[in-house]
Amino acid sequence: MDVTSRQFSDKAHQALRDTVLQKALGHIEEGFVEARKNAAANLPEFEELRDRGRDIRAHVIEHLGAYLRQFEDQVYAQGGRVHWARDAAEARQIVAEICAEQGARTIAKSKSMVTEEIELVPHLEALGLKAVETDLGEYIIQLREEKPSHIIAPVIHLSKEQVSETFHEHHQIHGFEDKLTERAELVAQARSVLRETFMDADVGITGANFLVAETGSVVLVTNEGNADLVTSLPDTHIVVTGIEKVVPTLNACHTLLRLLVRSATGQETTTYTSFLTGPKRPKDANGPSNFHVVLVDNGRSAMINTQNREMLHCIRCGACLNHCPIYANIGGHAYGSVYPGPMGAVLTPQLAGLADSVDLPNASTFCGKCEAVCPVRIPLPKMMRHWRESEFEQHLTPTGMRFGLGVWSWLGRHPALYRLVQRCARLGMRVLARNGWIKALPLAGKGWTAWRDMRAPDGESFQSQWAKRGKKEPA
Amino acid sequence: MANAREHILSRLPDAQPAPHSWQEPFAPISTLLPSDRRRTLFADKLAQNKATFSEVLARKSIPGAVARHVAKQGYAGKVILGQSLAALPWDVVDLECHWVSGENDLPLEDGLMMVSDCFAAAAETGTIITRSDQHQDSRLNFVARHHCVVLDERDLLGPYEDIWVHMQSQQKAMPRSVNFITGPSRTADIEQTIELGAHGPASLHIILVRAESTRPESGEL
Amino acid sequence: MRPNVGFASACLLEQAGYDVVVPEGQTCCGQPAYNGGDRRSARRAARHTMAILEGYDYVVVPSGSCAAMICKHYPALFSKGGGDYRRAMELSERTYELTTFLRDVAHYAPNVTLENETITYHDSCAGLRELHIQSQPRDLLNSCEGIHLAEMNKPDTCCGFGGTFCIKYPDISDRLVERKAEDIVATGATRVVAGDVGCILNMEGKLHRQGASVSVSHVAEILAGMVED
Repeated sequence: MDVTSRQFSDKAHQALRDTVLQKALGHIEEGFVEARKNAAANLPEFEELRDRGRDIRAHVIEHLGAYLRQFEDQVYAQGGRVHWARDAAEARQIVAEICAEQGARTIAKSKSMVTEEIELVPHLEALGLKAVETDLGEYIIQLREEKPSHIIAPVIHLSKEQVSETFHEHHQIHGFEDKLTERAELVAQARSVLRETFMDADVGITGANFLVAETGSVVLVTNEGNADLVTSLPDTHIVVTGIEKVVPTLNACHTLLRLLVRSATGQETTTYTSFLTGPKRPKDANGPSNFHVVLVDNGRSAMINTQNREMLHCIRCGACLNHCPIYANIGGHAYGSVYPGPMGAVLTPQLAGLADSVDLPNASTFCGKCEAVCPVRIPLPKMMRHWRESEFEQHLTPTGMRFGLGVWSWLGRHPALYRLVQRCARLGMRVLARNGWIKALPLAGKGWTAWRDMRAPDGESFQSQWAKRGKKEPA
Repeated sequence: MANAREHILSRLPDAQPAPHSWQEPFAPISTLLPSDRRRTLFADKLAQNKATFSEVLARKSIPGAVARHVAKQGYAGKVILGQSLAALPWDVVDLECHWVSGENDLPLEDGLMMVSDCFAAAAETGTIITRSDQHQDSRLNFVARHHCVVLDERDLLGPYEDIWVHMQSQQKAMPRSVNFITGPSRTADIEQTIELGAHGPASLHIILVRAESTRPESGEL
Repeated sequence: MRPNVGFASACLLEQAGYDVVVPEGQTCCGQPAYNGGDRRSARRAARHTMAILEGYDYVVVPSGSCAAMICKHYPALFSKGGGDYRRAMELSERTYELTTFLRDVAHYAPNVTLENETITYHDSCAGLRELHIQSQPRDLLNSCEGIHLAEMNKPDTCCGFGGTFCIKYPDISDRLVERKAEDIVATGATRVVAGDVGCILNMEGKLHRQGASVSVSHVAEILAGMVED
């Protein structure tokens, strides 16, 4: 997976100073966070659902091969086809071949993080196909040639004015000349432009929120209805999905759906939840003639026997992003990956390689809010810590940090020297202090005193004072 | 591609799960209601999700309900009707009506009001459910600007899980599409504020046909 | 860094009727190494600490993050069934964060009277999320005469300290503590109280840099009537 995560520190720095972005990110707290809190409070069974959700996902991964086989059998029984892709390149090739088979020229797409991960659209466009994103947020970033900054809300980083400028620039060819100011007008204009796409498209490409093994169904959730237009107007429907999305039964799916939507947006349900099973039946009034599911591995099977196995449980709700204090202040682009925030800090090193994404598992205070809101109780901080351990073993940790931690740990095992160093540090700090406060620390302390003061330690350490007071240990 | 399949499967745990794993439903208690309370919950949820709602006593009154809805909306265009609603007295609707007769007969352009039957509803979240079959063109649910859906009260269920039980009682095989629809289309992509009518219908109106057993004695609603 | 916290904690425990010993040779619980990915050093720190803390009926820690390190993470450092694991489990069963111990084991009732001061409480992350420390300090504070506790907006949001985080990503850390300082000042409180020295140093350093007239104290200092400003 292509990432620009090496530039994390610089990008985070810029993001903190980007006033438009900061204002946009401010909507998260009053929107998603507040809504999720209310939705969870209004469902007495919510915590129990989280336990069930965790157990369902763990069960599926334990039997993943068997469930995928069952799903595949069901899809074929209903007249659909299943393809398997080991990596992004294979997945792109399969999709391109299906489109070529159908003589497709225009593709309508609904939102799919996996297709972002495998960079499908640029590939199809390079082959001369027109592939148009129909989810409003994805459409906007496609026009702007950006990546999404959130796995649920792709343009959470943009202001209404920025969207207005983008439409003004790109919609003139559709005959729209005026610059719009109202949100409702922007939505209406996008509706009008994209209706043409739905009607023209030869192929519809979607992701999948879940794959139901017992029936061979693909489950799609949207609020806009674009996925349903994408899968009912064109004559071919291609589903591109990670292999981990399978669930055993429709009833298990409803547990996860109740969790997914409340955790993502705080709604009880999305406007549209669709269960799609194979192509048009002989007597159906309508439906696509061709139904293809592309099962993408791209690093997922490699997670099964590792400490990152539980990351396969993720149902892509985005709650961890919404509640992360780091994400809330720097936004998604700083992470340089289509999977940002806490879940991205665990998944990106897995899919893109640790060397290219070293900062991501480190850009966390381990406050634990992500785990506290994860609908399926993934222990995200623990998994970020595992990545830090890998970095340490592979010497990817910055030398200064490694050295500093090493010295501190060594001192920790030599109490007399530890106390001596502490005493020197205290003396040093008192030298630097004015009126009991230090305004500038050297070395590692520079980052602290750039923005904060440090209170100078007064007198000796607690332990040495306590010892001096003559309290002895029991015999 | 056979290579890719074998390669991937060889890397995955292949133990067979126990039969009937995760078959049991787990519905929130608030959804397990007797039918009269289901109607109240359904109406509340419809309102919360920005759908509107009216009731009739019999199917023959559906065109009248549509006429009233059209007037309320101030709509003056064509009214597109699903096949299953053909044999009803539509002359009370003072607009051009068009009955969809086949796959190539459904107008796909935006702006129209469309009326269709649905399969069932879940009071849990004020959700109507449609399924694909020979009479139901699923596109009708998504291309309309204004969508009216007719629901028989006997098909108004509580939790989502009951929808599948209800379906199993009528057909064994899974339909090609089953759509759970809750309110009109919306998006909050721009500055996290909701706007209706993103791509699907901008308004959703449910016409509930009361079951004989629950009809008020007065014969009036 | 703040010897007063140690003295206040000892004072409270003695008032509650316990014999307090401060074992010599204590250094660091090993959390920086653990969170820095150096599991080996973390294990060595754990063994050192476990040896030092052997033999006491209770181990009381005036820090949510250190207590969580001992209670939740020491066992996770060692293979199940081994000697170190057993010692870690045994230690975790008699180790408590201070306010939890005072309220739930010692059933201690504070006997301090507070000056007419508005106080707000910051929930340190590790203590809150790993040891469920939330009501304990508030219950103890609320049972003090003269207390006026004003909750800040989002008291459970991270202050941005995060151990080595504030060194690795100082500008992000600063933004978090800046927002925390805003929330504190907005309550009108003249003092913010917390249970972890890291959070305290962080918030205090920021508030002082901003020239805000808000003091920062450890909950032990308040409960023992040993606030030093």
